[in-house]
Amino acid sequence: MRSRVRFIIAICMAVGLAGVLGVMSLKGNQQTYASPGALVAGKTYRLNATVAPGAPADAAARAQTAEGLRFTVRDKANPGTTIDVVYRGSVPDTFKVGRDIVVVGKLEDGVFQAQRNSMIAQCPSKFQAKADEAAHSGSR
Amino acid sequence: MSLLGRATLLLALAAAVYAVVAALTSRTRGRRGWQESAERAVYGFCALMTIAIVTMWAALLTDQWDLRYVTGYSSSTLGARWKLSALWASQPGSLLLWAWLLSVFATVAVLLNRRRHRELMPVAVAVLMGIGAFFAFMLAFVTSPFETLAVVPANGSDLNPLLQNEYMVAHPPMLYLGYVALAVPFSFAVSALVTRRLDATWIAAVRRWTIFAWLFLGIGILLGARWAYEELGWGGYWAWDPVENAAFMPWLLATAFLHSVMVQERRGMLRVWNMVLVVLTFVFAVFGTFLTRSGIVASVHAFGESTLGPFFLAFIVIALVGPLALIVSRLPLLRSRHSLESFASREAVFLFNNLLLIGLTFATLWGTLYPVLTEAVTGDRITVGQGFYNTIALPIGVALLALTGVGPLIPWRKASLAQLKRRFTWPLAAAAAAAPLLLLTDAWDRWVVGAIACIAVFVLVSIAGEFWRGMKVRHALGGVSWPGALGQLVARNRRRYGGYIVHVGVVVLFIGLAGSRAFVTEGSLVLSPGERGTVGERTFVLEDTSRAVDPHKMSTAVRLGVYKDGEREATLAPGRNLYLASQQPSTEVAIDSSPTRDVYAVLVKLDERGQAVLSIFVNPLVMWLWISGLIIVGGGVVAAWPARRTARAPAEAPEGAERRATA
Repeated sequence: MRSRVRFIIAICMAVGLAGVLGVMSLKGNQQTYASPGALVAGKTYRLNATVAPGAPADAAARAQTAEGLRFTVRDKANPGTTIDVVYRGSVPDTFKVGRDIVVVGKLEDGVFQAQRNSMIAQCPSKFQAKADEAAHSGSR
Repeated sequence: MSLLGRATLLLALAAAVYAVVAALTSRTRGRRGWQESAERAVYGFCALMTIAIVTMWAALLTDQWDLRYVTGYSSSTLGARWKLSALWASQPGSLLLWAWLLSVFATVAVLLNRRRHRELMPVAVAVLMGIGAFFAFMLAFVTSPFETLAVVPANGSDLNPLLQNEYMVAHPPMLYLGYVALAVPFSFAVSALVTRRLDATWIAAVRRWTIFAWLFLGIGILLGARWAYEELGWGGYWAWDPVENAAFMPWLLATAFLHSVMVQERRGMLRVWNMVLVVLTFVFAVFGTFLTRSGIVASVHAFGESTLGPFFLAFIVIALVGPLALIVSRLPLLRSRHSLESFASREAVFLFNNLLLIGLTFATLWGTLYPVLTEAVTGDRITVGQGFYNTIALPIGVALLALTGVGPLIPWRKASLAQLKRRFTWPLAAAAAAAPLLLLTDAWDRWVVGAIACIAVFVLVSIAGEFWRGMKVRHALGGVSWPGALGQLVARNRRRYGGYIVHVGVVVLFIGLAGSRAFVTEGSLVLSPGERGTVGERTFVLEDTSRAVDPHKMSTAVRLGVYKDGEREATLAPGRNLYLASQQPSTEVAIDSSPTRDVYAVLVKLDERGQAVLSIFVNPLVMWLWISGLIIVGGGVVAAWPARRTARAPAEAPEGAERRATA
């Protein structure tokens, strides 16, 4: 009898925790991973794309200014699809043309307005024999 | 060198497989002798792995560019200590380190326990060497560190500059020491299940290993935080990144186990629970490696996708399902010896502590795997933001903090009202007295921070009371001074008082976390030489700029004078390097630390005219995070320090009684 009560309490707590987790992860905290072609205005995304040629060399400095760093990213699979990003805050050292990045933000008037300090630069995901790339492919 | 390395790994694989077979053979009647052979194979495995890792180090130190690994992660101008640390800069190297540590731990475990726990050894050795064989197989056939290049380049492409940092030299090995040490408790738990020797002996064999693993995981996590803080230049130290979570989850589970194991020792309860915890802790440690290496979750650490995923997944499934099936089949043997008598008891506090820790672990797991789950269900990868973790971790963390104060005040079995009143009076009074004092500081601007501070006072007074009561008893016995009484007290109950010291460290950790997360001041400045700018209540003057080039890197740096209320407070020299081999820039953060605040400056850019773009953070109380780390390590060492058996006996009299009852 006692153990059955305990079992029921345990189940209730597990269900409760699952419920809380479910609700909390749905409530406002969600960010969908998306590529440049898949954005809908007004929704928060984690935009995952490649930095297109033309991104400024002094990106880190520009991102500290009031107008922010403006650069173009292109779809990883489909290089023809591009979108402009405006970003402020700290820029990872590994940011450069051709690198995959993730920024969190929203699409407003055709421009992706990124949240402050939300940029993550990813190293190339596939191992390449090219010496320069190899240095980053497995590093943390 | 490649040949030597490959051959050694193959031999190591053979030794591990042989050890498994021999150890299992020794379990059949009349073949006990095989166990000695299995143990020798363990030593052999250890020797071979040592040769393999030394070979790799030698290759890195002597610039063997024909090895793909050396070319990828080193260069001729790299300093010797970075060359050594390049071993854990990537996947095959990290696995090599994993396997080598495992071989060393297996050897130590065999040497320590072969006589004391003779009955448990065969299966424990088989499990440890099974894990060893898995890693040796991966290293020999799937991701070899000794792979050669067809075309030998003239120079390597350098170690990622982000990794050229003291903390990064120490952080991965520390984490691995923790991860790998968890294999030992796991193997003994499985052995206890298989052999049906489910009394307290397997716990005695693994307790110290778990403290050891927990300690090094904690050190590794803190060093990682410190590295992120000093190297990445975003002013923070923790971002709930999947890889951080991967280390955090086994640490939480190990914490839970270290607490619940006491309930089993004292009261013979939670026996199934402890088994499950040991298994889960190890599985999560392997899962951490899997998570970081498989590329199933996007992370800042971005190790690159690899072919390891399926192998690790299979390994995890076996390590999880096998022991769980064993637990189910042994359920009748694992029945509790007592039941919970009252919720006002030490064991109930431990139970709550465990539920909270497990809850936090699964919340973290949920958040980490959310993108994978949503992709499976909806087709979109959706991730939870940091807000999700913070909202969950804050209340759980505060509740855990409060329990660290409540636990020691409540006796085992059942507390009487009078006892509770007597013990809670002082800590509660102190916490109440602290509240108005906090009104005088800024802490009250955020009520959560105020609440944490009050709870911190409560916990500290409660722990001080524990020490005081113990010392009073020792001193009353006569013949010792007060400091002598303290020394004796700690020496005779290392685990208990070491644990309290760790709790003090946890309180300090919370103070550091609360201060540094709630009151950050952030700003950015554009200054020409001689100019000044203001962030918060501080003025920054750009005093000097410099540029330098050496064969390895091009560096720029500035000197900043920091003034507060007209007085010079500090000088900061943030810089920015460009590494020539990889053409990657690297931020050199400058930090002025003091107990009250860190002033943190990042040089974002220095242009030709000498104009500097800077980003400034003022983070209060960050230093206390690192101090808390030292306290926790100190407490952990006290708790894990081997005690003389004779000294322990009287302190644990109730445990002896318990053992007689269960024999």
